[in-house]
Amino acid sequence: MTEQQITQKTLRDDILVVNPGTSLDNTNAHEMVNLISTAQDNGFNYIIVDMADLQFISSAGVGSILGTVETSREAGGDIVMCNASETILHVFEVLDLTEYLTIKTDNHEAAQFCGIGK
Amino acid sequence: MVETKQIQAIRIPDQLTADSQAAFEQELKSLLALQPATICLDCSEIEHVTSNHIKVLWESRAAAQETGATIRLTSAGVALKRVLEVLDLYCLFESDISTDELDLATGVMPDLKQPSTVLHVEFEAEAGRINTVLARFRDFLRELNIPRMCTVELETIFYEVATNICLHGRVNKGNLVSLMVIPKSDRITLRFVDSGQPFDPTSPRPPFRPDAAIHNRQNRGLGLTIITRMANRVHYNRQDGQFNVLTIEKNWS
Repeated sequence: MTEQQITQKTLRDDILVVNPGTSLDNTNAHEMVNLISTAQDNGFNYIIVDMADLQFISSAGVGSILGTVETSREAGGDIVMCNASETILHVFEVLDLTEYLTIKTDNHEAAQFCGIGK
Repeated sequence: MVETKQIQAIRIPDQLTADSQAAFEQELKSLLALQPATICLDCSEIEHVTSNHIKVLWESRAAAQETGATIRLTSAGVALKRVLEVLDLYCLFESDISTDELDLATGVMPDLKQPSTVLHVEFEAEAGRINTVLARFRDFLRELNIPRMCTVELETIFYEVATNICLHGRVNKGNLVSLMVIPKSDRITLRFVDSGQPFDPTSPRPPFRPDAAIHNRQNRGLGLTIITRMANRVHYNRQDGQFNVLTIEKNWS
């Protein structure tokens, strides 16, 4: 499905912005993990997950982010989520994950966290 | 504003002889050929419920399901309701709309947002089916006008349960998963029935620890945690040694 196609763009040589589309679930979670893992291998220490279009996230989707966070942090970076809607944030809240994950309001805040504009 | 839907009505005769039953079946077939969204089975003439009536109801429902139509009972008497309830069949039909409420002349259904409206979907236990059923479930919830966050939680619960069944349930190919959604005035009940291996999601297990999930890359239990935390009540039983019956209640108040 085209709306679930994951897109990416390079913000800096160590920052990759990933947009999972409208849904992050069983159908594309593995693709998300592969994409992030490959990016981490290629020196992208910061991955910004832009959730602006995301309307639905399942446990597999949450897992695709959880399972890759530690690698980025070990390399001095992080997985930074931004533009998450109230309903997406709710899923993270239900799982008590908000204090363990880096969640920023928008792209600007996310980029700042990654060291752009400081 | 409720979406107008195409409906057709057909009366079930009290005396079901071979001739009247054949005539009924022929008329039903003709109506289904029109591909209506809903077929109303007018039960107002049924006074003495016989096994033939139950058979006709059951077969009508099966025939309607093949075309994607919903069967709705209208003017079902106490005796018929009781028999259907005893047989655990009443919940399979949308019901409790009297014929007075139907504008048969124009084919307009006044309001489908009745608390008694039930959604019943059967689907193959394949991951590829989940999003299709989710879309139908989502449409059903939309018609109920329940709070947005509650809708999101119900969708997520459905998705997690369906995923567990389809990916891990080991349901034999060809066996269907049954989902029944029963809204009440203050809550909604999801009832999943599958013939996969026994699995009790309510059995005791270590609590989900988000810190451990991150540091150990150990994400097991995310789906079950979502289900149990978003639902108000989760009940499991193994029926007849064959079926997993998972009942989930979610309050919307």
